[in-house]
Amino acid sequence: MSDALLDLFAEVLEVDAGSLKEDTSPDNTPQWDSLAAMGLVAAIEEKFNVQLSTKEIMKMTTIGLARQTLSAKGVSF
Amino acid sequence: MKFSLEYSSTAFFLDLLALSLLLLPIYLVASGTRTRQVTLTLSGLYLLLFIAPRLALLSLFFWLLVFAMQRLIANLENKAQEKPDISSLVLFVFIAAVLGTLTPMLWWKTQEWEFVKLINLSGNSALSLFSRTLWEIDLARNIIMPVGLSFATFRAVDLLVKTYIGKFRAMSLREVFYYGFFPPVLVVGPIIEYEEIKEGASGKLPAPKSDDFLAGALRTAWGFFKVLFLASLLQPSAQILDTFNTQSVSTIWIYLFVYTWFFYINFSGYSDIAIGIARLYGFKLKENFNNPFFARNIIEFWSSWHMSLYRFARRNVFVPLGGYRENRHLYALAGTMMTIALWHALSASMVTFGIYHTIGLILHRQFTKWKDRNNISLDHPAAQLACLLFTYLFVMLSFPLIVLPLGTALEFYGSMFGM
Repeated sequence: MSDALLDLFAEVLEVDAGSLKEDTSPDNTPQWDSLAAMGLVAAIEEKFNVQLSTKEIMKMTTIGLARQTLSAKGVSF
Repeated sequence: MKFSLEYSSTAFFLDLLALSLLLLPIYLVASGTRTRQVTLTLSGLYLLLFIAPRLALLSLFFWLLVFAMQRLIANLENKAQEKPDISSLVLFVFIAAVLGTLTPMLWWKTQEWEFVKLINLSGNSALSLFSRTLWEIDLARNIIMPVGLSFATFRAVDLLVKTYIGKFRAMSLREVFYYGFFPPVLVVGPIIEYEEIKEGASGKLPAPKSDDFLAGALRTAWGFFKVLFLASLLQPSAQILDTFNTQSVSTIWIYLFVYTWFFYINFSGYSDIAIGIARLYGFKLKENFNNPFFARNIIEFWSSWHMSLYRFARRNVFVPLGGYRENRHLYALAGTMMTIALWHALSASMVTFGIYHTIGLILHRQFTKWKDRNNISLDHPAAQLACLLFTYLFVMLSFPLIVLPLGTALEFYGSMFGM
């Protein structure tokens, strides 16, 4: 499965998109460190043209939850 | 009451193990989620009663308040979905709830003896209202520290934060108590998240299988071996903290080296036991250590040392402080390290510890940027080994700050360098 969100995560985290799952999180992915996360937030905001609040960023602890949070903001993948 | 603050985590885990061997058959037969949650809650409560009834009573009171605050935040958060204008009120209530949850721990860490006396005396007096037998048993117990309070506080804060950001609905008292009294993590962590012990997609708690028993038994045995044998073997190295004034420079360095291993093996051994016993019940808790002394840089170290605390601080301090924004990254980093440091003790030496590691992380970040800019590779085995040794040395040098008051720690450093 590949979509815009997974591609974005793969690009920023510099990993193969195929290795990413909905439950991929900083706890199970060493590449998702604090510096990469900074890049992720900036990339998501730019690519999907959204502004993320701190509360929303706090919710995005897995790719699945990032998808859920972005969907709630009207983003489609 | 006898005035002693001694408390043995090993004794707790031996009690828990014995209790688990009795309870596991019941746990296997009673497969309903509610029954299992109640069984584990009562086990945790019983173990606290065993340490001292007043401790169980205080924990009940603490988690009852957490339950009330969690419910209030969840209900307000729900209402805020429909009426966004009350979101400031929700934020205010949430901050007040978190501060309220932190208060006992902060009180304890700032006025240790007064707080210990207060909870022992008030806990004992309150017991007389419930049961004369428990009150008498309690009287016979030593004065005790609020065992596990720091761990319980952060578990509770994590629950409240996740409720505020909408991850959890209002929970029942049974669920909150189950999280609060989950036996393996009661006294020395790890600081688990509710997600680690909640029902799976099937709506049921994990059923322990034969490989869980095997893995859990091996892990528990390994933990006891580390704590009872390996750590005991290395424990004499702790004497250097008292005798450094009379020792040679080389002795101090060797003893400090051994002491760091004692500290690590002892602490990680307790985590192994907690994770192992949880596994006997079928729970796969997240790891708490991952070979931290083989880290090749300070970020790797902090991602592999007391990982549950690190994960807690990342979720609940680093991200809310704006750590994922370029302009606030360093500020959030400093806040995170200070939280980790001060959670251990509110002392000048732990403030110094926090500053020391913050500087280490910032320097590492700048070094990484410089290295990448100049295309410098550290992949060569010799470079990797040098990174490992340098990281270890950096961490080892911060250990005196964890266990000594600042003045004594400075004297210790003086002795280390022959001054």
